[in-house]
Amino acid sequence: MNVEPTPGAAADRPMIEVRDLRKSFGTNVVLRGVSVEVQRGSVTSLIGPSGSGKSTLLRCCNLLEIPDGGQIRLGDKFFDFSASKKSLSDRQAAAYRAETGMVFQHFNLFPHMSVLQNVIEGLVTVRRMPAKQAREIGFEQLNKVGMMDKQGDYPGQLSGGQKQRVAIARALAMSPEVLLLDEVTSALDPELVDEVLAVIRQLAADGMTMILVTHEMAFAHMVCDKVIFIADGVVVESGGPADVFENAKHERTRQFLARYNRAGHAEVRV
Amino acid sequence: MNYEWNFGFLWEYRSLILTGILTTVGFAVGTTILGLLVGVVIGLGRLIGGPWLRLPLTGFVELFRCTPLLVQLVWLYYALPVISGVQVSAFLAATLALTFYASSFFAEIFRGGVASIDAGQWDGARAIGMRRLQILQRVILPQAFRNMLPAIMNQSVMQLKNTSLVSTVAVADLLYQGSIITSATYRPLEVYTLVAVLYFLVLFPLTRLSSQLEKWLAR
Repeated sequence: MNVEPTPGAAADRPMIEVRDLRKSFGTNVVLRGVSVEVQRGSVTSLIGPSGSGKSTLLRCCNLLEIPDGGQIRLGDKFFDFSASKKSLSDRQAAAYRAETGMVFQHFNLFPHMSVLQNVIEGLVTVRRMPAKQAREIGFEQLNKVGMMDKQGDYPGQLSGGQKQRVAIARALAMSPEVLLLDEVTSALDPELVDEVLAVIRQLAADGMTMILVTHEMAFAHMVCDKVIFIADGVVVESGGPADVFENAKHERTRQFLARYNRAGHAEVRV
Repeated sequence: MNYEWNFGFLWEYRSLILTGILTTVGFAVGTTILGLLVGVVIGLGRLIGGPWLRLPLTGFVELFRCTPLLVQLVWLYYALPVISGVQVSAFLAATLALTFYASSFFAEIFRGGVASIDAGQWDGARAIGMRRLQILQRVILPQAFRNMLPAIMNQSVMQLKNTSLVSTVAVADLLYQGSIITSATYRPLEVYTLVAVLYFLVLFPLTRLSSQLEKWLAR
């Protein structure tokens, strides 16, 4: 396990490089050598059948799961998991996670804290920022997701869409280099999906680097710069949305997309 | 049956009964607090320690959970001095047995409370860069404590009743004083009726309080 800055000349390199990533849970092999590149300021979507490994790949990018093999580089931070993964300390992993935002399907807000406290918890506890300064950043992020008027509420008082917008603000407050979104509208009632998608679309317009795992293709088609189709733990196909959605080269991809088209998914979801 | 009930004579023994109540309540409060402290330390050790710490702690918990308190008490009082060569007073044996017994149950309540918190809470906290102890302190334990409170109250009520076992090693608790009065007066029916009423009068407010607390927590 190495954690070392890689030499400069970073301007033309992808912001994120994942090489030959492997991950198993017990005897269940989930990722069988996945390589992905993400450019700074781009939006990438991971699509694929359930159990294909796309969520695990996303969680590995944040070190919520520690890969069994392969490498991850994000900016100038480099991790090589080929050696022993035991030596990645809680401190190292936590420091890395603080730089990579993640938003979850089930929000995972802290129910005993107010909306504002949720958003500034990382700043106060992890960054040791004075409360006043943290609150200013908190207000700024809540404004961005349109949740300023709910700052004193508790998560239990919010709708799913509002919870998810707060969760996005909580991730943004840490000013992450990349935002990872794991099926962030899958748990929402259909009428609450748009408010969350609007926030994501605005973030994309602002140049936020994002990777999103999604089951809904229309939104991916509209917003993403790159689409990666994953099945059985490997990347089957990747390219621009037009390439993948309209001119898929692989039979496996075409079958997968055809199933979605037949199902007539009119709603746009992430 | 025409037993003639007569409680009047018990008034003479009021100071004996009062010391009994104070001893019982003192043991219950003292060993509950000690047991909670030891139980939380064991719980934390099992949660964040390596296997070299988890295994002996779990062994301790299971040992005290799976043997009767009366056996522990008698063993600490009679057998420990033989093994260690140090004389153990009845007071110390009673304190140790009640503390260890309570701590093993409190440690389990602690473990269950932490396990009751959804794994997503850990994910959410880890994703903003929090470390293990920070997550426990800021996110998991505040929520887990709410879930633990009813079980802690319940165990504390049991603890007060369990103190009656210390009378077997001649610690002058409420039950022991009752047996003294009985042997002086030969009127066990009145004596133990009073003892039962007194235990009830101490514990009933406590169980009311705990059900109020549960209602308040369930809001």
